[in-house]
Amino acid sequence: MANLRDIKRRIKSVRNTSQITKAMQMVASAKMRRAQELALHGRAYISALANVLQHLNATIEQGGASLMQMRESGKPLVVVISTDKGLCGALNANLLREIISKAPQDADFMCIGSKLSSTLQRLGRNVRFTFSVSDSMSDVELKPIYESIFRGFKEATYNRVIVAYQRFINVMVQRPHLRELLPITAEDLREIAAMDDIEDTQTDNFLLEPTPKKLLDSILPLYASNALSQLILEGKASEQSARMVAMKSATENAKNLIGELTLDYNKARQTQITNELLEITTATRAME
Amino acid sequence: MPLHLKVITPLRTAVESDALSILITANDGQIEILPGHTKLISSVGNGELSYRTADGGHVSLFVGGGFLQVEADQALLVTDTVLAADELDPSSINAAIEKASTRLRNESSVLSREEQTRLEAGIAQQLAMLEYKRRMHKH
Repeated sequence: MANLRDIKRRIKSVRNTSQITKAMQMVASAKMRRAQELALHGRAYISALANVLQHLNATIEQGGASLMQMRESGKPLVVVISTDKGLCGALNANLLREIISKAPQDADFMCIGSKLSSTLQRLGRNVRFTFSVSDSMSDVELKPIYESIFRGFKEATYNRVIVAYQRFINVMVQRPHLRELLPITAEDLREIAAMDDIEDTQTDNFLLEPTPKKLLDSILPLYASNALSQLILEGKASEQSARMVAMKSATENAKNLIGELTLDYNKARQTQITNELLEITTATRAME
Repeated sequence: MPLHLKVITPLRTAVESDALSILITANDGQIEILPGHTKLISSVGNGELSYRTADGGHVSLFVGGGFLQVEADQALLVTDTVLAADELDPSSINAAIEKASTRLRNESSVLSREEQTRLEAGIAQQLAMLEYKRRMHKH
């Protein structure tokens, strides 16, 4: 029976696939641990910065700084943080759904991670930039991203910058989320500062060194660029977790499939043996 | 009641400790923070952060710029770089300075304005590291 050989071939190929998914799962879980650590520490840093900035803002009481100004002219820019590689479950599809339902139609798009770039283009969205950021997130990769965002905002090409990313909740749960990056508003600061356990007393009248303007000028760009890199970190942590979970379930599926196929294989083999025996006995009978 | 000092970098919470006094290098000179200090937000330059702990210890670290916030005896320092004296290696710092200054000298026409500022800031930080290391040796 040719069927036997077919089944055997299938078992072999499924086993090969499961070895690959198993290896990918292990790579993803090692990367995930690091990405997760970075994302969680980064949260503490950014909320500490937000805390300082919030107090600074309350003390100064003047929306003079350009990164905090509300603007009428210009259009929104949506920064989409997706992944560069697939095989991470429904991560990118979920993010895309969120973007389609919530992001403004006329917005320009910047894609960090190439996966959603072509999809958004196909949907007729105006994708202006596509960047790729490796896991090490070096300054060389991040700088052009910051520059195009901040220049666009300062020159009033864009009046708002919204970041769409997968928020890392835990290994099993990542939630697509849109967050306003620019202009920096007092509410955002309060929300981000509250993420960490730093005591918040909501006070103002701080003594400022050296001058309010200099402080604000140096802390605002630092905050904005770190807020963005924090969101990229969150995206990375989500990507690795989602990939690990997806690969784990793929490995399990393969295992189940191999089980079923082995059962079929044994059945087919048994049938073949029975048939052969039958043929032999019939032949001997006929000769008697 | 002692101060509570927390030093946060993007990678870790570098210090979380009670302190009797904190000495830090601000842009225009050193500031000493004692318990009961008025509310303060200050930018911090390249230089030394040192504090005395309740059990009589004295800790000294190098800080590479950032922001300090003091409020109700909670001192919060947000910075990119925190290093202990023995983590600083003069020869590799010298090599980094050499590399950056060669770039500034030879490629000044190609480098953008921001890139130049960044390189200069890097050199200033590395020089401050060397200065700090030298002072620590003397003690």
